[in-house]
Amino acid sequence: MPISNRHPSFNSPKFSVQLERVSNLITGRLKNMDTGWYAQEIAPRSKAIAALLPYAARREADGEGAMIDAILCFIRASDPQGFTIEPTGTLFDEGSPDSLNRVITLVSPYAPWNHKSSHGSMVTRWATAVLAIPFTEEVEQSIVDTLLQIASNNSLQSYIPTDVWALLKKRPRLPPVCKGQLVGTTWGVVRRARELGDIEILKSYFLLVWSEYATYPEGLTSMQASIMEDFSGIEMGGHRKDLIDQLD
Amino acid sequence: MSCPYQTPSARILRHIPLLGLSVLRSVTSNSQFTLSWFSLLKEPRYSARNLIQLPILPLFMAFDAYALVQAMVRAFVAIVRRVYNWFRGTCGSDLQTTALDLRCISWMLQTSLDKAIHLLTLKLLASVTAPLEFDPALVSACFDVLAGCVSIIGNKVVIAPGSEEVGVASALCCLRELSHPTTMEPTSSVFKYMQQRYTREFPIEANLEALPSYHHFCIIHNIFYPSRKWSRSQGRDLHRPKIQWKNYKLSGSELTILTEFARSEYERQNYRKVPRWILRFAHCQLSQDPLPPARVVTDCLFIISMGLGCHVILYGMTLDERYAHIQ
Repeated sequence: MPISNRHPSFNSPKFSVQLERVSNLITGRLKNMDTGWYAQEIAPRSKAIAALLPYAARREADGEGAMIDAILCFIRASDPQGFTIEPTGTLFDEGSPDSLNRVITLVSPYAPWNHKSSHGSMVTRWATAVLAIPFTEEVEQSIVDTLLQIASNNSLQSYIPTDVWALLKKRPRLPPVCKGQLVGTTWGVVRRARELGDIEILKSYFLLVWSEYATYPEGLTSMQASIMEDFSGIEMGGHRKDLIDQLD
Repeated sequence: MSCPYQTPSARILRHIPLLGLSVLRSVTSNSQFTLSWFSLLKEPRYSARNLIQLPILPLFMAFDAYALVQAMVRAFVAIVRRVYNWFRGTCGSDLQTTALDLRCISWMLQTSLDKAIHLLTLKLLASVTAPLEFDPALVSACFDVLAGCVSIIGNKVVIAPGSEEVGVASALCCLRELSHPTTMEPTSSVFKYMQQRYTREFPIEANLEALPSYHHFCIIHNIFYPSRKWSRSQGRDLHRPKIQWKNYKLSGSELTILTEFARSEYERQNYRKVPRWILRFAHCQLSQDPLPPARVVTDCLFIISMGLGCHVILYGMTLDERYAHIQ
């Protein structure tokens, strides 16, 4: 028997008023939270935020996005590489409503894509969400960050539709600090990008991941091989200028 | 050990001398103007000076009569209120009655060896809805019953045959007693004593899955083992079993207990964090579709607000006051 049937008073208007009040207090707290803490101080807050996420997502679906925006703002400013949402969450379930598309896209970089609990249907739900929402700078950064993370998981990369890979042609940029930057240069990701057989996607992928930041050595070797084989070495034709500009 | 139980008549009779004394005190204190008039009289009593003061006497008496009537009305209201509370007390919300009942429960748990008595007593304890007074003897008695119901085979904790019901009831009562802020105070000697006893009897990696009240035992286990433990003999960290909150059917009393635990643990951790297992409970509740009732969601948000470093309330406030004190 549901708890609301066993305790009808739990749904009284008094609690609804208190609920709204506590929600607003938490949103206010998130907006004003100090992001300059040390890691050991941020970690417990991150756990609390992870627990709050499903409720914030539901509020967003109800048209109240202030809480989710405050959460994302805090994560990006404090711990974008360390924060992970709870693997037991239901946000990426196939049956989750379309009103959650924006939330799914924006929080997807923090989903546990390398956790054993991740599965193909999560990727499918994510792909549906990213293809359905308008492309803004915030959205594109989240998409490419997540795309690289998923592609780095060999058991999940095959679930990414080509349409999502094709979004790379719009030349999005990665966020300044993100998980996808490093894991997106592994050998497996390079191989997958080559397997797609679309030279424009491959070029866009290279342009996305090349940076002054760390790159996996075996991934770099694969990229060199790709340039030699796919782009015909120095005779890269129309792609040459773009690649050389990025390398500089 | 004498039974602390008293009949209702004994309880009423106990109050009668006190009531008589308070009436006497009221009459005496409210005759102060009249008495002071007498103290003003000088010797000899029939002097002209005293006669001049005679007309003031009715005035003083009127003042005293007014004060006396006022005191009587107040006393009457107090008596009515006490009677009303007494009637409510029969439904379990009178604190004095509850305190007495709890002493009686504690006495029965400690002195009886009969499982049926234990079960009845524990059910009575679980039915008390008023906030419990902290009673170390009761905490210890509940724990004794709980420890007597289970045994460990290998790494697995199992309940003794025929003790299932007592085990479930004692786990719930133990939890309820443990959630009392006085028990959970960082300096609480009762907590340390219980923790020592628990950790002596149950290993950190104990498998609790076979127990009928799995979640209650897991919560108790997590309280007494707040973190992983280094084992020198095995050369590795020993971990507590993770509580599986999925498919957990929450009841009203458990919600209050968990919220109190979160608050107590937050204090124990020097206002730094709420234990992750409690946050995972909140996450699981907030992930449900449809959402649980507003009260459950509010309590979960209350737990999370502590995890975010919001300063919250002290024990003893009503729910309204509690939520109003989040800053």
